[in-house]
Order: sequence, then C-alpha cells, then structure tokens
Amino acid sequence: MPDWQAVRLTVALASATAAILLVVGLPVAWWLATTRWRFRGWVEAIVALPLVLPPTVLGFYLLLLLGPRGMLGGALESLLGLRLVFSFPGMLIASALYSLPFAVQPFTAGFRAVDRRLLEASWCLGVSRLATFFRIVLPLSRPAVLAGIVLSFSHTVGEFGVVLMVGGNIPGATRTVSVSIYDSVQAMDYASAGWTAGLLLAFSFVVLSTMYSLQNRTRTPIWPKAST
Amino acid sequence: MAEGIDIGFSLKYLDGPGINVAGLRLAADPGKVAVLFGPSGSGKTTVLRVLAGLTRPDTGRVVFRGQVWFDTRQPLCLPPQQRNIGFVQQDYGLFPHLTVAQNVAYGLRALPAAERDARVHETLDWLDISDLSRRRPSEISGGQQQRVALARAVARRPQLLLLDEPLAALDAPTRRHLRGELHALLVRTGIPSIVVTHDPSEALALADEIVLLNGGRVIQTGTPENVFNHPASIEAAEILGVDTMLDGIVSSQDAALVQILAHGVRLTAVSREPLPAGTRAAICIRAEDVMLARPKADSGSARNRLPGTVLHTSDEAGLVRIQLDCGFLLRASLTRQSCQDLDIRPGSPIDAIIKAPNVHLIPRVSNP
Repeated sequence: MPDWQAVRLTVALASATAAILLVVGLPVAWWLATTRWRFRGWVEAIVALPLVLPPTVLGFYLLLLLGPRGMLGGALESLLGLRLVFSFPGMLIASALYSLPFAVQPFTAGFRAVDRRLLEASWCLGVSRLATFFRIVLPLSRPAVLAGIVLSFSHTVGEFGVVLMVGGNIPGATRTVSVSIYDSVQAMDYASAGWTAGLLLAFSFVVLSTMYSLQNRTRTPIWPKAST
Repeated sequence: MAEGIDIGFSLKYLDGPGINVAGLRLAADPGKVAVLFGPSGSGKTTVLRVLAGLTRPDTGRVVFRGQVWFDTRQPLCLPPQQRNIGFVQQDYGLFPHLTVAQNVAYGLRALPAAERDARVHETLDWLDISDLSRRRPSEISGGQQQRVALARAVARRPQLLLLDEPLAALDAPTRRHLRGELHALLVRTGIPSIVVTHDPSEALALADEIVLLNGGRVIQTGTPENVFNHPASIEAAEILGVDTMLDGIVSSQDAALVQILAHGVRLTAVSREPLPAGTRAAICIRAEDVMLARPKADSGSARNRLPGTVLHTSDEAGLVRIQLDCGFLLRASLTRQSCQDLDIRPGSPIDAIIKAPNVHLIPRVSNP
C-alpha cells in the first residue's frame, strides 16, 4: 500500500506552494517582462538559481536562515513561538523558493508574448494599468499561467533534497512522498516503496500530458493580422 | 478658454535622431481633420504618441483646449487614461480574446450596464457593423477591423481622435475605397481628429489642415491646397512630390474621361472611379508631365491645351523649372535646350499641354 499519510501531506504542500507562487510569481514575472532596468539580468539569475543549484545548497542556506539562531527563524521563534525548521511552514517557504523558476519563467514568457500595443490600446480607453493586467494580459497568457501553476505544483510533489534538509522526516508532519519512498527503501520495504513510486510516476505523467495537450489546443492568437 | 492644441516638445531617442516640434498649433475644431504628413522617420507618429500620453518627451509642453496635458516645468504628465482621447492604432490593436461588441464595450466600464449596452449598439449601428458584434477580430476583414477600432475609440465620446496610419494595413483597392468613407465618418463624429499618414493622396482626401514634418521638425502647416500648391521650401516640395495641386469640381464624366473645372479652366482627366458631376476633387499634375509648345491661334478647343504666360524660370541641376499662369499657377520642368528652342522667358506667351492620364484626381468629400 502507498503511504497515504505522505500523499496527503505532499498534496497539501504542493497546493500551498503553487498558490503562494501564483501570488508572488505574477508580479515578479510582470516586472521582469516589462522592466528596462539595466540589472534585471541579476534578478533573472536569482530566480533561475534553484534550477542549477543542488538542493542541498539551498537547503543548507535555508537551515541557517530559518533555524532557531537564524535571522528569520530566530525572530519568528522569539516573537511568535513559531519554529520553522522541521515543520510544515518551513517546508512551504523552502518549496516556494525551490520551485520559483518553474512558476516565474513560464509566466514571464507568456507576458512577453502579449503585444505591447494592446496594453497601450487599453490605457487609451481609460483603463488603469492594474485593470489592464487582469483584463488583457492574464486572459491572453492563460496557457502560460496555467503551465506555471502546474509545473510548480508537480515540481513540489517531486522534490526531495530541500524538503529533507529543511523538513526532516517526521511522519504526518514533514514526511512527503519522496522522503517516504527513500525511507521505505532504506527499511528494505520494497513493496511500499513500489506502490508510492508508481503512484508518483502515474500522477506526474497524467499532469504533464494533460497540460501539454491543453496548451496545444488553446493556442490563443496573440495579435490578429489585418487582412481583407 | 484657449481653443485648439498647442504642442512644443523635444525628444532624443537613444539610437535615433532627435525630434523637435516647436510652436505647433492645431485648430482641433469639431469634426475637422488635421493630417500629420511626412516620410517615415519624420517624427509624425511620435507627435501622435506624445499627444496620446504614450511617449514622454524630454522637455516641452502640450496643451489641449486650455488643459495642460504635459509640461516639464511643472512637472506634469497626464497618463493616457486621463486625457479622454480615442486612439486608433495602425494595426487597430483589437483585443483578440474579446468579441467585436466586447471590444467596443471595453472602455465603458464606468457606465451602468443598460446604458453601456445601449451605447455599444448605437455605435455599432452607426458604423453599420451590428451584424459583426459576436465575431472575434480574427474572423473579420481588415476594413471591418478598422471600423471596429473606430467604434471602440468613439464609443467613449472622446474629446480628440488620434489615428495612426489608419489605412496602411489594408490592400490598395480597399484603401482607395475606404479613403473617402473614413473622411465622411470622421466628419460625422463631430470630434476633432488627427491622422498620421505618409501617403499624399490620403493626406489630400482626409485633411482640412496639413502639418508637414521632416527630420523631426514641422516644416509647414496650412490647408491642403495651400501646402501642396505653395510649398514653403524645396524640402517641402520634394516631400510632397506634387508640383501643381488645384481644387476642382467635376462637371461631367463620359466613361473614363472626366471633365473638371478649376479656376475657370476646363481640364480633362482619366479616372476609373465613378465621379458624379459636382464632386470636389484635388487635381494633381507633376511638372515633368507638362509639355510646352508655341501658341496656336485656335488652341482654346484642343483637349488640355492651355494658353498661358511664363511667370518665372529657375535653373535646377540641368533642368529649368518654369512657373506659368494659365488661369492658375502651373509648374513645368524642361531641359535647357528645349527652353532655348521655345524661347522661354518671363512674360512670353506659351501653350501648356497635359495628357489626360497625367491629370490625377483625388476625390474629396466636402464638409457639411
């Protein structure tokens, strides 16, 4: 039998991560897509770092930051009595950072494909920049936004290293699916590991194939060509 | 309260030349059309974008009917949202994910739903595109897209309409067909319009007032006849590419041959378009198309043989430019040898001959 407790926890973690990345990622991506700031390359590099860094490196710095003697962890613990390491909130922060490029990069690509003249047309019709974002930019980049949400969700489901470093392995509190598989293999429980691994494989394939076929079907024209 | 629009600004692009517009004043009377005319790179689109609030000049001041829209000394730059303008872009900029009716309703959020629907229907009816209301922009023709873009812009009842090359996205036959129609529509809106174009026939068909731009500067302003017929400089004449421009009224048409009267002189022109008697048209004649001959006694009856007097001659790179009085000012251009053969000098009588196909007519819709 798969480790259902770990599955429930993983789905909760991935959903919360995707939600956070939607709220944080949209403005970051919009800024990256529209700014002409000279040093935007640095910001893009920071966003992309989790793609190339080993999870242990990110996990190590997060432990320092979020730990009881870290800057953020110490403050939160003394003010609110909230411990971040080896807990769900800590894992959530770690996952959101680790999956940041999987949300921001598709969002940015989608936003860049929206013709600037459509924005100008909207502004000239008296519609504010914020309303233009919601009424023009978001609907026209819907496939890209959807891709970003799905990718950040799936990536969180599949992550291992950062979760283990920051969350540890507490059943029901921080033991996710991938940690559970590792645990089962260590305990020579190949049956349980096989069930959980198979479930993860099937889930990932279904999510990705659905997303790609959806994207191929809903290819919105970005700019209608004038023709007679 | 000050009427009209006052524009003065300077702007330097990172990779291009600077644009300096000083003391440009447009009348902006209701239903009147001002045309910003010039070759590409002359800065005409920049002037339009500065008026729309989409491009911010380095320094300057833009005042519309006493409202300051831009002033670097205050400093103040009203965003496009607060200028209450209608902007029609070159490719129309219709929102591809919205239907025609939703596009037209887009800028009307502030109105109550019932009033908004009524306004959309009224605007679509007025432009005769009600049957398209449920279609997407990708499902309609370029000419229809132009009407939708105009509908979307006028639905908000803006105080100024700005149109950037409104006909450039269309193929040539459609463009010719829509030229007159667009002018009639702009007049009917009762809103002052400013149109950018690089096409002289478009400028003539649409303009009540022309602003000639070149190299980022305004080089001449005035009525079309004034600007086209009296270029203030050689630079202006070269840009206009027309040597003689007259206002005429069609007296009759027989198949492709059109008889037209201008300044009491009858001319014959060739036109494939039907031009009913009474139609106003601009008559354009290039100097190279004017042939000169010694006066003949019975010249009055021959087709487009106009007796006249030489007013002025000037040498220009091997050619002699000649100004004639034939009842109107006619410009001709001849080699020096021909000039000597014909004994052309100021005051001498001469006949000008123009082949009918070289008399170009551009119909103009008269203002009510």
